[in-house]
Amino acid sequence: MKRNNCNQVNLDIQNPEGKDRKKLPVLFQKLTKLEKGKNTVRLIDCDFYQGKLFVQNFYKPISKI
Amino acid sequence: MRLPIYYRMFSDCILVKGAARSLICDIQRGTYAFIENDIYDLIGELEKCSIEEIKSNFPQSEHLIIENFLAYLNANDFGFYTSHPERFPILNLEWKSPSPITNSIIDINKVDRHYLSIPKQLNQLGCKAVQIRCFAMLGLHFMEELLSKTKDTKIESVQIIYPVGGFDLQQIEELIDNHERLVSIVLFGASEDKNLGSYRKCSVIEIAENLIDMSCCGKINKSFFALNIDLFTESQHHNTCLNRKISIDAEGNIKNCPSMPQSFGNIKDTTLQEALDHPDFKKYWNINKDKIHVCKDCEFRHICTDCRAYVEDPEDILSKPLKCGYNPYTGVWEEWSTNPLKQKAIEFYGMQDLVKEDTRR
Repeated sequence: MKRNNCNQVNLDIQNPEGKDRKKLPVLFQKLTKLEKGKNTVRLIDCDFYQGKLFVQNFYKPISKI
Repeated sequence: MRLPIYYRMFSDCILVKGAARSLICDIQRGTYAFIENDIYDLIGELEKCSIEEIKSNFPQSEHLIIENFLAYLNANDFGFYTSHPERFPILNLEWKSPSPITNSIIDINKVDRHYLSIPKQLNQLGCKAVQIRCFAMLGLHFMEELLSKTKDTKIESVQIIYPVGGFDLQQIEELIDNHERLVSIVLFGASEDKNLGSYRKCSVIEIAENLIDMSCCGKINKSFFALNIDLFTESQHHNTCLNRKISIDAEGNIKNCPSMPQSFGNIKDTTLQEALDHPDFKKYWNINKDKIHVCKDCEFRHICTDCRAYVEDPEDILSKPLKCGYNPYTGVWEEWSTNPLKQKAIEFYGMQDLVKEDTRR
């Protein structure tokens, strides 16, 4: 899986015209009030549910039975 | 001027230190890798110092080891080289949810129409995930009626645990066709463990274990690990099993977890909201793994879901989950039910027969 690097988002925001500009991830959980050097953008990961019986559409086992 | 080179872990590759070894948790890819605790400390140094500074603290003969380790991190895509470490702040590990309740267990032993009001009440609490555990056959009609109550709600996923033989394959397909929120059907008491595959987006499996009641719950093993940002961040602050959970036991009692003793009313005369408003309802929600004996030294603590209903010392709510056989001080998994130190608790919870059946299988 290609890494949707959270760091790349920060880099991109802090250097919008910079030569280190990299591809932005697609989805953001939080993208408000960004401030240079202080914010971290978190991603919604679309892939982690796949292939796991107990976490389909939810992020943890509801019970352990 | 040549800028010093630093090595940074990707912010979604987070280290968790255990007593005997540590984990690199890749919370995007949902994978983890073991590292020695010395390496954990070295990565900690990398956060503060450039690679050259680190090397200068070690004899020349060990430089190759450091370079090999950085090559390992790089090859596994855990981190990257940079001259601007200040541009890469760590990930925010806060956990927030707009829902007063995120998940729910409904245990049912007999047809009781009071259960039909539960999906609507869960909807009002913003509940996203529901697990319905039927320890007896309730009939297709009742299950259809109960599931139909989840339509037009915010509930996103419904899992069903049901005795094998209760539905034939055609009935299961119809159930899934009629109820799009169904994501998992587990049929217990089968002759062997068998994956019947997925129909639409719902997985159907048979398991040999005979789930007689809620005392079968609370197992801790690798198959229940989940590695993702939601669980990882929730685990930093809250109990990963009990936080934002509401349950109904097989008698209709409203509880945090069906296996816990304290009831906050019965669905016959109490609403879920009234139960949730009780001052004691949330009292275990903030017992995170860092507060639990033994678990606080375990490298798996932020990918594991806890159990407070069955613990090693029933008089100490902070003791280790009873059904966990992992020893973080040795890094070895052992059968929990035969551990002599757990026999007193097994007797306390009346699980002797359950354990015998588990051991026989």
